[in-house]
Amino acid sequence: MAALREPGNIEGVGLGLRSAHSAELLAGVGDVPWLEVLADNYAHGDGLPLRNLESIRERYPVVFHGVGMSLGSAEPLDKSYLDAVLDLARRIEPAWLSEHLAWTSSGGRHHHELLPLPFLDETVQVLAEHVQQVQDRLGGRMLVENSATYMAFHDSQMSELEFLGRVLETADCLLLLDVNNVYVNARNHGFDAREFLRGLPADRVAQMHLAGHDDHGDYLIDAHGSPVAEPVWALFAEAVRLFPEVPVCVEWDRDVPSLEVLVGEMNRASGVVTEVTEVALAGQEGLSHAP
Amino acid sequence: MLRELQQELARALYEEEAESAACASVLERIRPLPELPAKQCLDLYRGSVAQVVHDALGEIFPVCAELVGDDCFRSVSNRYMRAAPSRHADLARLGDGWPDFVAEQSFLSSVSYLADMGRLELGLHHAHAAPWPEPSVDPAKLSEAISSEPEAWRFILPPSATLLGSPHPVLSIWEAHQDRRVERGWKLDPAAPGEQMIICRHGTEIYADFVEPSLWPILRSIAAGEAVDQQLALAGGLRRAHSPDSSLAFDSEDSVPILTTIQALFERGWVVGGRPL
Repeated sequence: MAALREPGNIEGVGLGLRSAHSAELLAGVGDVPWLEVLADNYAHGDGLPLRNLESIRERYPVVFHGVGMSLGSAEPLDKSYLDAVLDLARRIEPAWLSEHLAWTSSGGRHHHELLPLPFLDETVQVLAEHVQQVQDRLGGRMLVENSATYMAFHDSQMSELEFLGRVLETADCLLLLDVNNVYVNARNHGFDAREFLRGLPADRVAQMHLAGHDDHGDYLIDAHGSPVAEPVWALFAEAVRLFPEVPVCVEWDRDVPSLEVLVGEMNRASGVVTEVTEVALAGQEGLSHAP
Repeated sequence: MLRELQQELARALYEEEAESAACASVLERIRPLPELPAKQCLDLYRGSVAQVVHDALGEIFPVCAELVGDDCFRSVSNRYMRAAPSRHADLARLGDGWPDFVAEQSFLSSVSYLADMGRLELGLHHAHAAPWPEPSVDPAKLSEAISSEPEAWRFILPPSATLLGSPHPVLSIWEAHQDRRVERGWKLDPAAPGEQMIICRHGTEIYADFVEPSLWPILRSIAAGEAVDQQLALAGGLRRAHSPDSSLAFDSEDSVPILTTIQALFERGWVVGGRPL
């Protein structure tokens, strides 16, 4: 079953769609090139939300993002959830679908929270099986996102970086690299964020996320309710150097500001991409003219 | 090991007391962060799970939250989270059981209208995402069919419709919260009678409206899936109370015609079509 559209028209920096901005976006405000849609908000109902999304889709290329698939749960995937998301994908034809490396349900109960995974061989296998099930039905490769976490487990057998690499390889899927989450985890768990980026398999990085976090002093929370923090902008520039031409989405979920503010963040991200790309091109020019 | 760890952590998320045995058990498996002890790591997730439920319920039931205040609403939200595990990935369905849960809470007996206010707000919430009405039978054909065989046809309410009859004036209270009259000193008349209402979506407009006592039994009959002849009898009964000698099809000058009554339901968008039984 093919539900995906050719991803060629997802380029540059886009925005996460928030319903408060639908009318302005439909009027073309902000010159936004593409939108990321939280599939969970549209997969379980009909009526106004879906009609709005169909209108948005007529004007914008979209990608799907999800929070409720619970890829990392030791239990089977929720078939009704998967059916609903795939039905929506058939209808809307996103360029791709992404989900978090996390678990959100157990024992038939949905926790509505991205819960942390222990980095085990067993977890790699569970994730790979679930991702492959989704990919088989989707008719294409999906993206998995590195999650922000505020807890680790004594049982873990490997680092987050090794875990991520093994999941991508075993499941043969792509990475949605959340740059803010890398920064948050580096601060919370005490590792080098740049080294983490350099350790990622560049050929599997297919999208990036940028968002704001809350700084509680001793720890950071991936809250999505504020502008992207300055250190994250710096890390993003490094990510763009390592993974050029990868589409980027700016997310903002809590205390959602005006579209103007979000477009400002989007334009700043575009500026970083342009600057890094120009520096890289100048470097190549310099090399090609070198004696 | 993964399943066992997830079950253990899930149990700890919903424990009322952070010092419980379930929390202590999972704490042994949590490796602290460099700057955060294991207990605080767990507390972050426990707090976040509760906050998600509180926020989702607050979006569905904003007037209920205003009526009881945030502390009480949070307390109800926490109790509900523990008593009614979320069985659906869709956060928008989290509130489906909330009004019935509220109705059973003795500590909320002083706000006896809270459960019905919850039902009203849940109706509005459902109307938002309810499917569009299916294309109806051609009105002329429908009219002909129900005139000749009213016992073989039923009227259809919009998929977005919720009928709510309350012993409390909940729609009046809700309206007072919408136009902020509450902030200007509006007080509920303790002697105010109960209200019957329909919550519905007409096109893209979502609304709650009072239903006159004469229409209420007819709408209830339609909602119950009863045949059109039942609704005609109800409308006729209402009319005959005023004019006992008039026929079913034609009405006396001082009463509401039956077909006019049915027509009014269509015009208001409260009835959207008919189908054979």
